[in-house]
Amino acid sequence: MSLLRLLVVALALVLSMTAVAAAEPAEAPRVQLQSVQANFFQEKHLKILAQPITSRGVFAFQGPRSLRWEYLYPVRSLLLVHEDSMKKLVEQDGKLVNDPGMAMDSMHLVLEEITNWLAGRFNDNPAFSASFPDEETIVLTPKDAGLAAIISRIDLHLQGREGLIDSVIINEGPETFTRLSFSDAVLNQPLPEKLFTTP
Amino acid sequence: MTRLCLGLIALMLAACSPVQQTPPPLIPLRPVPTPLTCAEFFPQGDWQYVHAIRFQLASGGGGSAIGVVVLTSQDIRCALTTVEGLTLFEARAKGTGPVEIMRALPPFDRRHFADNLVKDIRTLFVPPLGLVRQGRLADKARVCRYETADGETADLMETKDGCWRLQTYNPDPLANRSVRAYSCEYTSQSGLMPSQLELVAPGRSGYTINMRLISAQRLTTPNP
Repeated sequence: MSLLRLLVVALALVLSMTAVAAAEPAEAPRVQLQSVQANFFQEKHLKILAQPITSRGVFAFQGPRSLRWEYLYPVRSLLLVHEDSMKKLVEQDGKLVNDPGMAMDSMHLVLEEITNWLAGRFNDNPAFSASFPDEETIVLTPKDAGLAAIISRIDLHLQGREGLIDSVIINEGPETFTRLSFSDAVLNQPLPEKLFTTP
Repeated sequence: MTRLCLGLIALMLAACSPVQQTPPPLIPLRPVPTPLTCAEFFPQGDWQYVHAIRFQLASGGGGSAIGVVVLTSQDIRCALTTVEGLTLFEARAKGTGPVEIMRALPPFDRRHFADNLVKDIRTLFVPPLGLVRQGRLADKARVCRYETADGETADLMETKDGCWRLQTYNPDPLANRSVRAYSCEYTSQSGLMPSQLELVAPGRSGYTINMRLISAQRLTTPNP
């Protein structure tokens, strides 16, 4: 799996898991999600860092296949997915410009992941195995050893039985992980198409 | 991401400079009314820096990343992550010793990449090696000139905006670097700290790295 595909998988997991209903342990959550908008706060932890690197941004998702993932700080970047189009932009000299590094062949993978997770098909994921140790935790473990060397596991923590995802921790190795926390989520409101097509 | 990978791979490739550069004549400073304090152009003490990095290849590609540099009296530690947070590379080097790679995703797991990355970090954040003498260039710029027995020279120059620039001259022209610091602030604790840095490796396979300071943290306790 290329780095690009890995990154997209991880992002898709985070995006698609941000709003789910809790479930009984050892059972996949059931989800009825049409759309979600929320803020996110990200902490990047590395062993060498005295303090984590912090980022913040906003995201929006609308089924079946539209999403917007935007970092506002410290480096503004934007991922837009809508129907058959997908693009990534990064800020240069105060303007968002296309980042052609986001290969279009990852589009299908993104949509497949989102569709699976929103439908509660956690075990259909080709890259990760899902387990549900308790009502508030979902653990994703890489199936492939090569992938495990890059991301050792992903922990998703729910706010409560009927709540949203409170945080996502993407573990890369000892003392190296990324924690995403979400806030101000708005569920199941119709979102304008241009949100997913226009920077 | 692909371009990022390709771009960083290209950073491993030394710049092709067909003609060896030599340092310009140095006019001695006599008398020296206000001698330069050469070391104060560089960080004083232990620091953690986080930069937003944008690089452009001479061949046309480019990309963005987040860079971490931790400078202590014992060692240099560094990391590269994607803007989204995936760790691409993490390494440390004690003094001028070899680079210890702690994490490196392909294609960043090549020794040559690690060595050149740490070398560029030393150029940006650590005073050059060698004996230093001061003088003035033909354009009146005051300079700290560092020279080693191996024939390596580094000219560290004041700029009119209160910042600095650096030019290295090596027997191997592939190793030459030009650095320009912008928007510097001086404190006795930090030395002269630039908000932006630009490093240029010349030649057809060269590159330009622009670094925007996100955070600078003084380290007061030992970092394990």
